[in-house]
Amino acid sequence: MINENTASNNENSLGRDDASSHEKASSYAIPTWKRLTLPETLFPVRSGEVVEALSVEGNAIEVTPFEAFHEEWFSDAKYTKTLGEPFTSYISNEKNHGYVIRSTSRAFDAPVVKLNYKLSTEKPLLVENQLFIAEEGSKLTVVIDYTSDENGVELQHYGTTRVIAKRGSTVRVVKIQRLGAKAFNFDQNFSEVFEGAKLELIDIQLGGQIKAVAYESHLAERHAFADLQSLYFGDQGEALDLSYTMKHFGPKTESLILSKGALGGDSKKVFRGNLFFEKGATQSVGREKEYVVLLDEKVKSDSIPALMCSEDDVIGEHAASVGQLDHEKLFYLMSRGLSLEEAKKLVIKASFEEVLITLKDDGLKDSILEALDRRL
Amino acid sequence: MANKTYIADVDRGIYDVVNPENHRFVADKGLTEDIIRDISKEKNEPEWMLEYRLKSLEIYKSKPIPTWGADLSDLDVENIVHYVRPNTDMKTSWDDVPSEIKETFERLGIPEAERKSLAGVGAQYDSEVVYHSMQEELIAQGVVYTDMDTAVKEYEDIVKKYFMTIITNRDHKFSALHGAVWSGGSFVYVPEGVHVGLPLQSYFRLNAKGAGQFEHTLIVVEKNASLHFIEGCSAPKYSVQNLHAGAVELFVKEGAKLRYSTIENWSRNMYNLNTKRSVVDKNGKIEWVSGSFGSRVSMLYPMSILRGEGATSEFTGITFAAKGQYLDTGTKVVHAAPNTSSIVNSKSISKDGGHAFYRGLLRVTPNAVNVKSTVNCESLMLDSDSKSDTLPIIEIGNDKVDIGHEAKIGRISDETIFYLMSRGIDEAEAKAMIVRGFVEPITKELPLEYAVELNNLITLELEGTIG
Repeated sequence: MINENTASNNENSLGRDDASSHEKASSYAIPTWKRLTLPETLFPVRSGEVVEALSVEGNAIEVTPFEAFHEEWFSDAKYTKTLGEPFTSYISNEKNHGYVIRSTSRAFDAPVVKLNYKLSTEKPLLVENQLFIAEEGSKLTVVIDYTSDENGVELQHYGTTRVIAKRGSTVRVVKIQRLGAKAFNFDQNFSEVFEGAKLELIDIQLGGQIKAVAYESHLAERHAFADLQSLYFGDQGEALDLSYTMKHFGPKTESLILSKGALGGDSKKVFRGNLFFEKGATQSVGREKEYVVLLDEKVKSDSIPALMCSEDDVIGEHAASVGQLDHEKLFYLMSRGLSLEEAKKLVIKASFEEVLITLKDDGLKDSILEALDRRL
Repeated sequence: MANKTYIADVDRGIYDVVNPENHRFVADKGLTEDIIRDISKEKNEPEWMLEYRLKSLEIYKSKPIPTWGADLSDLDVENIVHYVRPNTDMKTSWDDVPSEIKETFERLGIPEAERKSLAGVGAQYDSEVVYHSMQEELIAQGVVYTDMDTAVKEYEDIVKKYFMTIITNRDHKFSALHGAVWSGGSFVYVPEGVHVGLPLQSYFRLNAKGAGQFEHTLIVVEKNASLHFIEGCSAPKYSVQNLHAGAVELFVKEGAKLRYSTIENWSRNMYNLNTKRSVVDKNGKIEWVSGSFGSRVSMLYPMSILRGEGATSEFTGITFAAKGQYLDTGTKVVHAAPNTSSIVNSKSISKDGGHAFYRGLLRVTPNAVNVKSTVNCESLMLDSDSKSDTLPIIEIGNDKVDIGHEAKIGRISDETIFYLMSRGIDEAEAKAMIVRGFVEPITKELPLEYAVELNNLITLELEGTIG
């Protein structure tokens, strides 16, 4: 039986753990997604400190600690394709870091906020809660880099990021996760995009043993635009659960999901792409593309692209392609003197380039390619 | 604002003719062990079949109603009559079939099609098969085409070997129900190397009100043989629910080929919860052609299990969901052997608040290397009251695969109409051409008389101008 509907509900419901060794009120079970067959573990409950570096370039921007957040600003409850309600409340209750970042007025250049979270043996846990607001007509770019100098350490990052792109604003949020081979990364992202606003999301998952990433964007008003590009790499012993959702409410809205990944070793990946066209989203366009390169015979790759349509005057498309690297390309490169391994690396890097180029930051791009090189 | 293209519902005229109910035996409503024993006794079945039925009943009672797809909360299984025996035995000549039943099938065009283009025909009326016949030369070649009840008695060894082995009573609630109350259906056995040139056809007609039809179709196509089998279904409209929970089990042996075509046009009070599966051995081929037009609720996902090296499957399906209909259809393909390939081509149309849902599964097991598969789903929405969803699940267990998937949802584009009109075609004709073009890949796969019927079913009413 194909029971994806209930599966996704069940998979997303995190029951609280009853184990006596943990205090009931302060412990949260990590979701054991059916498709990834993860062992049941618990979210740690402890106050942690994080090392973070914050840099702000540009004008017309306010950065305040997340404590300034008012609940009426943003309601998580509207979002359905999340990592589950208990996860959301875990973040809210146990958060140890985060900001409210607000771009206030029209500016020619977008102010850029760079956040670098560095995790280590001493500081292994980041529970992050963020809200980014772009006021009408303003621009905002936020780049968050999750890094670690230690590779074999059990690091954990759990977070909720919320974005409000008000009328006519332009927002870019870039997330790069390279936490090393033993890290857990559970990250959910909710965005609300208003009339004529433009949202660009870039998500790059290079590190981590278990990665569950959810993005849900609501195109609330006419001419809203949202674009999500993702890159990932999975290797021996790693599992990825990716859920990307675009919901079209306003007329003439447009969304694009582009996901590119490579899987090696015995890695497992589940990709869920959901495009919703709600009634009233006339003349909207939504597109979803997924490309996966499989590098090892033991990989497992699941794709569940869904199109849910309640409006006829729309264009909705999804395309997926799963397979090996193009033999002709490899042959060509090898005929030029490259070894098979080098040729493979080059072809994968070239295919990732399509997303990396949108970073518009050569330094960052190079460091990501370097990290990718090491992984390959 | 462009005016919408209006496409008429499928014309149900000939399907909705109700015959007076004249039965020899009607089981009580609901489901108890006694009813199962009655049905089995009425059929004079071997003991192992009765045991299987009783076991299935037990499983049925223990399983919950599935909630992941259609809303089945209105389905009241306790109020459905599970067995209705028409007042006739199985005949081999239409002249012997009681006139009202014969007339029903005449209206549906079955005897005429038999004379023209079929190698054999079976007709089931309510719970039992009333007519079965096949060309003499096929009988001489050892082809068996008969009703399941006869097969259980006369070909017991074959039936026992294959019956409920791909679809078991443990699979889900409705397969358990089927195992308990199944009745009628067709049995086909094509011996090694025999090619059945013309199609065989079984037609299932449910006339009784508030009843269920649970026919079991079992087809075995031996090594290097081939067959085209057509299944048609319809029922008149009543205000009470009817339930169809049939089962189709297809065995395609090494190098064999089977095409299974279905045109389902149940009435809009029908819950069509049918299960169809096939297993395909080395270099065998299964082709599904599936048209879903009727029923209130359908949940139908024909499944191909490609277990032999080099086996292939092809699925071509069309779903037309109009007012009040929720049609949850699709296909499942399991690549369980190396060098297997599959093609899925699905189209759906929804109108007047109808809800078409494509749900599919493509699975490649870890040992199945060098698999090729393409899945294509297209949905056409004719107005914004309707809904159309697509959910194809792709599960890949090794790296040596080549998988492509594409899906599209939309309406008739103004540009296409504009282009055709610039070539001198008027708007109404342009829209009609586009809809015909949309379903054309399916109609061309249908036997001629069905293609004609389909084109008649979708009569176009067009109005308006381009805004």
